[in-house]
Amino acid sequence: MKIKCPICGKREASEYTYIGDATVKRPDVNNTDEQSWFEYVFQRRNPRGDHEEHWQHTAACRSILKVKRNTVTHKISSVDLEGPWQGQGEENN
Amino acid sequence: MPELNFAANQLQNPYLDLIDEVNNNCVKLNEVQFGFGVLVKAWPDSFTKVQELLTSYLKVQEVPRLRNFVNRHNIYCAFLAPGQFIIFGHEPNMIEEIANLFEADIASVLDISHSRRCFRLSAAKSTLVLNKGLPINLEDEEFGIGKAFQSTIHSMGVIVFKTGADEFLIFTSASYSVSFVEWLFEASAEFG
Amino acid sequence: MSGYRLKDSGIYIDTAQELRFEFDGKKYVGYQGDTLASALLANGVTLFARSFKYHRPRGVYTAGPEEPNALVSLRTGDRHEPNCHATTVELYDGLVARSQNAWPSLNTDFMAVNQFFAPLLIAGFYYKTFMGTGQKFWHFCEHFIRRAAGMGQGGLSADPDKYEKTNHFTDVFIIGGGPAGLLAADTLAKIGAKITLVEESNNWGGSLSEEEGLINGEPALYWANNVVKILTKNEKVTVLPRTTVYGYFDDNTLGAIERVSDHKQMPKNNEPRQRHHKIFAKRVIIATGSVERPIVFEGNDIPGVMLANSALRYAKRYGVAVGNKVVVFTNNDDGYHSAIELKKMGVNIIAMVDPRSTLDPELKTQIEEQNIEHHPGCMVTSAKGGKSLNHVNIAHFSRDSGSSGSLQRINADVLLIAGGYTPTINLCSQIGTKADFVEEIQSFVPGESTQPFVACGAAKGQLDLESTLCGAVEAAVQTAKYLNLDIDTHPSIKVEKANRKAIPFPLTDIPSTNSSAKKFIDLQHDVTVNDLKIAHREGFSSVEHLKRYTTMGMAADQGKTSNMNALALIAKERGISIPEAGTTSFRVPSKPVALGALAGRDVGNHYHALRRTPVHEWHIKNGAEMVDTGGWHRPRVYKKAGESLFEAYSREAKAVRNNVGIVDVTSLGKIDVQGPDAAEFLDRVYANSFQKLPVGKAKYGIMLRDDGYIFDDGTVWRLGETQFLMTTTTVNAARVLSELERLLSLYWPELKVHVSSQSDQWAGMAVAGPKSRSVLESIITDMSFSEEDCPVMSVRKGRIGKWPVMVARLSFSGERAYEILTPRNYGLDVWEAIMDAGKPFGITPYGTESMGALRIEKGHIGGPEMDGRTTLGDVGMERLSSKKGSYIGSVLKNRHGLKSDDRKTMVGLISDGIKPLRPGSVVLKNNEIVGHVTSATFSPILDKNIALALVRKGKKHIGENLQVVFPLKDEAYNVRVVDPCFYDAEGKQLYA
Repeated sequence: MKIKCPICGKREASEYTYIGDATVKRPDVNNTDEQSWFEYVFQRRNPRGDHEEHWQHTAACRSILKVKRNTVTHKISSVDLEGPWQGQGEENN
Repeated sequence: MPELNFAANQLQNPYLDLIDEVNNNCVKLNEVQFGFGVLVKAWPDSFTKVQELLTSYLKVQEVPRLRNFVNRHNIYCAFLAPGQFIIFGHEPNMIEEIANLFEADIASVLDISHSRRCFRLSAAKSTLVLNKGLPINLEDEEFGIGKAFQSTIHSMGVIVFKTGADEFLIFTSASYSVSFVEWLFEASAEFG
Repeated sequence: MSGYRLKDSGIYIDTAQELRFEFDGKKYVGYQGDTLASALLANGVTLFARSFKYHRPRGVYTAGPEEPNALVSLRTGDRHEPNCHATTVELYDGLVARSQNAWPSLNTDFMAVNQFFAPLLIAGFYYKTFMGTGQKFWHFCEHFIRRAAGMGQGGLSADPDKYEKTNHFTDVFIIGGGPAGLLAADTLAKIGAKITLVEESNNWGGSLSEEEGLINGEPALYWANNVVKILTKNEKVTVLPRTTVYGYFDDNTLGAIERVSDHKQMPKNNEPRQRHHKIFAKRVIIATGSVERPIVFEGNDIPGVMLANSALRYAKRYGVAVGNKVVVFTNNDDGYHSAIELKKMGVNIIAMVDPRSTLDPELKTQIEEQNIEHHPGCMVTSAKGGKSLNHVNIAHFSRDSGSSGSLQRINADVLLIAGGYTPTINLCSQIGTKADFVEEIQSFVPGESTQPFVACGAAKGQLDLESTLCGAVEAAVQTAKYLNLDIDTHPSIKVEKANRKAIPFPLTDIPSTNSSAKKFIDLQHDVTVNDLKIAHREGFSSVEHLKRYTTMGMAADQGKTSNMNALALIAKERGISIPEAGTTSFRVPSKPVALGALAGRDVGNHYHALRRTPVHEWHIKNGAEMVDTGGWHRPRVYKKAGESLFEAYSREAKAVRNNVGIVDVTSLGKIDVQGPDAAEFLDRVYANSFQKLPVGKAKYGIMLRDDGYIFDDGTVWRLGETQFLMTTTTVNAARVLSELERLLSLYWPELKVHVSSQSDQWAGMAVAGPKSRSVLESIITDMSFSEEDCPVMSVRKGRIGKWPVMVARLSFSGERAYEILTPRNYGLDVWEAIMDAGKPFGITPYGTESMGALRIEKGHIGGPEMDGRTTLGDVGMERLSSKKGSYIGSVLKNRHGLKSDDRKTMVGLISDGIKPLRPGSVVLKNNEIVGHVTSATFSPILDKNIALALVRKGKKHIGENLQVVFPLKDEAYNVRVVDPCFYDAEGKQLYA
């Protein structure tokens, strides 16, 4: 499987580390509601089909990427840069 | 009846040819000493300012674009990750000069002079040797002179600048440098 | 069957070069260009192997890699390789081969007795026999079954050959050097495409060696020869013979193995035996050809029965006649071609058997001209013989199950069967391309491409030369369009007098003469028609069940000569059409791959890259035994002459407590945290607080995971208002950095902080012991070591000579200690300077083993106590998390399950035994499990074996005697439960 990092280009899957499910929302820093944290940490839908996940390009630029991948065919339909530098990458070439 | 037999080694195969060449300087590796290394990291709201300050300090036309490096007076500056510039040069006092360019809320500056070791890989088969460990197309069309990238060879982090045809500057993580040279020597063994 | 060499034949052999080789201890002679099989056939060898289950005698069946029977073991000693196809092994001088799966010899195989158990060894044998009989019985029988089953023996010694791996980039990757592949390559090369062409064998032209037709006026093989010459001269074309593509992966990535020196007796110096290519192609053209299909009838596995086209190959390519009296059984016109050409070359074809009643008049004339007895409307009902074919029985063909008409017997030593051709679609199937059934050729061809590839030639069902070449041109045109290259869409190719297309007449389930007769569908796994029928009767009728229940198609040949027949049979049993029955998928690899080739050079100490500290060589020179932690090599102990591990670490630990010691801590993770919001960031990350940490001070920090369990610990040094240095454990360094980056990137973009790894920038060493201050004071300038200037937990900057150092007064061992950081390149100099300065004080270098002993004595937690199942409360650190703000894990750590007072909490154990306790041992109270041991060591200070353990309601047991057991080694000890800090609870030693 290859992931096209917006910063570095198409690289092999071994250069990346799976970070987690991108569809869950982390509660705000000061949120003390146990239920919200429980859902963020433990509840996952595990869909069959298109799924959004976070991968980190640990072998190179260390950016966090949001990858839309199909869990059945492994086909990747989009890769976006996450974080404060969103929108950088290819356009900035 | 014309000859229909032909031996396999008459056919074009980039590896077969080279096995027969011994001591042919097909691959050359030298260590390159540099005086300092520095990592400058900006934040999105200060990125433009950092670019300006660096451009004037380095006395270049413009800072390098993504996945490229510039070289002026033997100071190399590359842009490999969002908001980050990696700079290598010869004068150790430049570290302080660069650090003083930026206030604490504009950029963070990190001394990485000891974190990396640099090697120059040159001569005809360097691309083939690197391709043994790097699944990245290093051919000229895809990766021309002036381009840079970051990846791993056999899980050792490397930064690679293409400085000439079949010529590369490779920065390895210092703790991996011995392992890297070992790997490189073994990979070039069949080329001489 | 007794083969012999034909005079003046064999386009691939060179009769001027004789080669000597050995098979099963007998010496033979062959020629350069022979395969092992062709040379053995030429020498009259009939018996090549014994079959998998029944140990039936088997001969050569084909002339290529689809060979199900003739598997041999090559080479001797540690280069021994089992399960090689004799049909593809290139003969070389000095080759040594042995047959497999027979004992004591191929001729007299005692295991043939299996045949008498045949009725028991049917499909589903294991399930039916061993279901419900219990584990013990199965294990008992398994021992014998494993001895009896299996093909070749694996080698037991390390593979001494070198293997290489490389990555290969190309625009067009063409698989197959037959007519389709060659024409596609030629067409694309002419318009300047960047091409890589691979061919499995060392010969080009593929099926053209049996093709009588003319291409552009020349004999087909001449044309092929010329094309290859042109391609090799082309700089943009890479040609790789002897290269097998074994896997097609997503994103047009493929795996191939190039057999660099398998055709030589030994590889040359520095030459790899095989090279693994990982290919990244923009477009792929699959021209993998086809395989002839057998016909299934009683006795179809007797040595002497083989495929017709293969026999023709032996004659044309190697000048070998496969037998003296040859009968041909065919259901299509191509069988006639094989028969007629063989007869023309001097092979004695005595009869043609064909279930079809009408025959093309032209073929009829040729048959009569060659004096071949013709039996139209007939079929072979059985082949008879023991270790070789004796005679063949034929009868009139009838569509009903019962045979009708009289039996006629024909004496023969070879029966050639021609059942049509099956396109080789393995690679297409691997990437999920569905197969479409083509009625005319009774076979599956690749359907719509799931990746950028196109199939052409026989692989696409274009079985005759003209359509193959047209298909190749079409494939080239499609590929060129995709690559935006201009192409003249009608390159001129003229074909004349080509071989006829094989349109098979369906022949499924020929009845046998008696019910116990075996009709083999899968020769390599000994699966018979009967097995398939039983599977169907028992309900395993879907192709997926059928395959696994009968093991049909699961051998190393992946059913290349059996899949279609099996599918046809099961479809008939179920009364549906073949496409309705469907197919199974082919798996990677499509051909066997040596494990060495997959490993490449990543073996031995290159298994994974090693990280070294700058003091590495010094450690080794001074007797250090190194241990691998998190990719780094660290000294475990420094053994003096004659010391055991135990003696060494006890000595080291004592030295630290009484004197002074030095340990290399460079491998610890070091992370630079910089930015205006750095302090706020650390407060959110750690369970304890850092906002108020003054510059020049360090503090112990413990990090939790989001779920409330402990993640990692370390120290944080404040180097400036906006700059901190974090240390982590060696093992978690990468994970912690990733976690920090993730938080900043995804959830806290409002924080202006940067985190960067500094593990390579600094060399670190800890100097510990009552004399540590004296040692360091003697060489470090620019700083004061007095109690006021350098209190515990302070961070100061100094120099040793010209080398800058950072000194932090931290202690893991509980003794007075200082952590020294210096830029990596000065690491060795600084280490040696400290060693020099420490000599008069008796400084001792110490390793991870004694470091562990020291920290356990103090009850400091390490990796085993932070295994992801412990909370702060469990290890007695709840007081650290007293701050009011939120931090990672602050909410979920208060879940009532994590607060339960029934949890295992950390205590110390002192054992009365002479052997150390083992981590992982179970702690028992009155024979009830109450906990487990996490870390254990011998304590030189207490002169006893001690351990840290997690025990339920731990503190309540202090003072009690419990038991610790390790059942795997039958060990049991009595222990006393104590406070986890075994020594110097007040911490006085920090000021010693």
